[in-house]
Amino acid sequence: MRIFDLISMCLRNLFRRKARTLLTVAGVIIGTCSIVVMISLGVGMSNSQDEMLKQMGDLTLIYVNNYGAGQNDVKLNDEAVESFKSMEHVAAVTPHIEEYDLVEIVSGKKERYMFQGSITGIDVNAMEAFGYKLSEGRYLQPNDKEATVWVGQNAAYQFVDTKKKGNNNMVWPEPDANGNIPKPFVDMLNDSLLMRVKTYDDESSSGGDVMVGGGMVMYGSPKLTVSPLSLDPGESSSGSGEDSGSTKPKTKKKNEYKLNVIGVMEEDFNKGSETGYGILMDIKLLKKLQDERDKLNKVPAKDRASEKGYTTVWVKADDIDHVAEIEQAIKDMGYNDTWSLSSSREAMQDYTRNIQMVLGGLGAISMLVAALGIANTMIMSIYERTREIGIMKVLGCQVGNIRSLFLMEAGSIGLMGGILGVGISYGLSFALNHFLAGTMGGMDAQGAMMDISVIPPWLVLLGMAFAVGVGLVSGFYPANRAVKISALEAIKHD
Amino acid sequence: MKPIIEVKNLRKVYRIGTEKVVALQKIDLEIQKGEVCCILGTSGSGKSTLLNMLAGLEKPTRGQALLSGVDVTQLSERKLAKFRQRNVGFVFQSYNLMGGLTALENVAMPLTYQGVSRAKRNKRARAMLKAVGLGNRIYHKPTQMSGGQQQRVGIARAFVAKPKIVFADEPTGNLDTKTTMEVMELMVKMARKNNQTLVIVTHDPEISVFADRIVHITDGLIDSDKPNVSIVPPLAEGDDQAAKQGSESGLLQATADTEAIQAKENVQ
Repeated sequence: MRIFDLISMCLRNLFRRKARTLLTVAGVIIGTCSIVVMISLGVGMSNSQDEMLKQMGDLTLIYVNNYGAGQNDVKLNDEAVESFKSMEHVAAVTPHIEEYDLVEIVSGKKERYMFQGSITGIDVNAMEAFGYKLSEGRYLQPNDKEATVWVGQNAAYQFVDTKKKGNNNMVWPEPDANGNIPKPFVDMLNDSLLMRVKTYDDESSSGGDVMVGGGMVMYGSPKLTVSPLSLDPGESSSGSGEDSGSTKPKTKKKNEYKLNVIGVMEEDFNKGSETGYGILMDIKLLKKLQDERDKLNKVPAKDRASEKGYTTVWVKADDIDHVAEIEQAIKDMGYNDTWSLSSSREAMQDYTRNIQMVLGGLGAISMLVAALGIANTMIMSIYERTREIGIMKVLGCQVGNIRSLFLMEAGSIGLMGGILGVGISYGLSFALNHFLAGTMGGMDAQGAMMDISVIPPWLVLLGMAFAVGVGLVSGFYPANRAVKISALEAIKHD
Repeated sequence: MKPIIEVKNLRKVYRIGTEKVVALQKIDLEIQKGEVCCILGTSGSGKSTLLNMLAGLEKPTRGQALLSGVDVTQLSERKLAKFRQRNVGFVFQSYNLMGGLTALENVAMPLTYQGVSRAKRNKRARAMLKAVGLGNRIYHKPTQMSGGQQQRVGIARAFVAKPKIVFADEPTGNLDTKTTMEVMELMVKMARKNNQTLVIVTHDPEISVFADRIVHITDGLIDSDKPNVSIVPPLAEGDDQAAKQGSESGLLQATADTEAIQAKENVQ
């Protein structure tokens, strides 16, 4: 038999029993819809999760940490940085050091204003590659001076007015009673800024953990920290703090730098605090400052920053797909303490995949019912058509053709249900997104509502393929039954 | 000449529960190409069983049934279907037309199974329907036709693929006397036109008069097997040649009748 004849015969048979075919198709529609909509919810969930992760940080970034600096066999030093750079699919590498207690930065008449934020060093040539965005100014140019820095969006508000006491010694970028945002004390782009390496009293500098001193100077251990509040810039060598008997930094001219601020960074929570309230400079300068600090304070050689290597190195992959591979390679080199958003993404993806499976499984139950419906319809139809099948056989219809015919009928019911089901699923999905998104969906980077139900093309194909598959499987038994009907039935007299 | 149908030592025993029913004891039969043979027997004589076995619908307990040299009792279902496409046509008592199909599609069905293209098979089916006098009923469904008309569609269907042998199982059992005669004449005419072999199974001695040869079956045995001496219409006694002529003229008569009927129907 020709395939075209088979198809037309199949459609004719389905059309002959409109009501029953429609009801069976309706069953498949419901089954397809429930599977497609359920999985689309899972896809939507995983999409908003991805979006959320993207907002959390850069998915191509790997953090290599070495917090036990100096104690491990492998050192996270410039050699390591170079070896990371030479790896395949690595787009950029930079160490990342944030120091809270390395320098003091002052400005204004008689050094009245003092900077409280942290300073951070990275390889500034890789600033763009790592996604530091500037709201003002420019990136590094070859002839820039040594003390070239970028400041965080709100770094200017980190200056303390040392002439004032209590709550009035700082201003915040928050609207006041009149709704105006107060101006910071210092215009970092234009005012002159002086940076000098801090020195400590002998007792404080003897500790090995000088560098660890936190930025929260006021609450830190007096032995280790320098409270900017205690400093009187006017009498820098002899000033005494109001709030405590803490130690006082001394300064020396030769360790002073005039800062050259060439840009303001956009605040970005995925980066360090430098984009918000800190100052960013080149890693080389930072290391030089560390050396000066260590020498000035007579830090024992083994505890010097230059000996310990970096605590954190950032490695950026050229593509999200290579992150896992690079991360593994770095681990294999002995740097076990790595972290990347994409590795945590995988765990989350596993989780959503499981949810998708559960949802799909729930949908599959109604598909199972639809399958029973198809099988029932086909068996009924075979009972009715026993005589017809017999005649077909007597007239020389091949057994294979009879099987194909019945399989095709069952498959067509599946296909029709699948197509309509997917179509209706689109409608349902739209309705869900339209009416429920506000209460359930997340938001994307632009603040637009994320769809809670997403039907990607593969789901369309999957839905239809599943519907047809279910049709064929449930048509298999009836079709074999039809094949076994005796031709003799047809010519028996009734 | 080698007979087109050769039945050798055919036996069929049914097992109904613990009881054995012998439907055919031992049948030996040869039918020549172009012969119109009537197998006559009462209900339960085993004539239908014999036909089923000739058609390969049932397997015998023992023996052979050779159709143009092929033992159909040994063929697989697949090969049997192929064999039927080429060699065998059927006319049934209850017509067995497909209810959902038009006369044209019903007639074209055996060709469909052979894989003949739609255009070709429709052409042949249309010609066939015209030949059986249903040129104006081509697109009618079986339910819109009388019994005689339906059986004529059945005959057209049996002959459309030009099979060597046509089996007719009580072809007139559901028809009135007048229609019976028309249908029989038509069928015999068709068979003779292409020198096809026609085997008619019936309990009705009246229709056996259309055959060249009458085989009586009683209790699963051939009771008598003799040439038909009472060929109707116009009878010519004894001489084979005369019998042939007689059937020729009968044929003309039949054609004329068919046309008359058709005309009448057209008027209606």
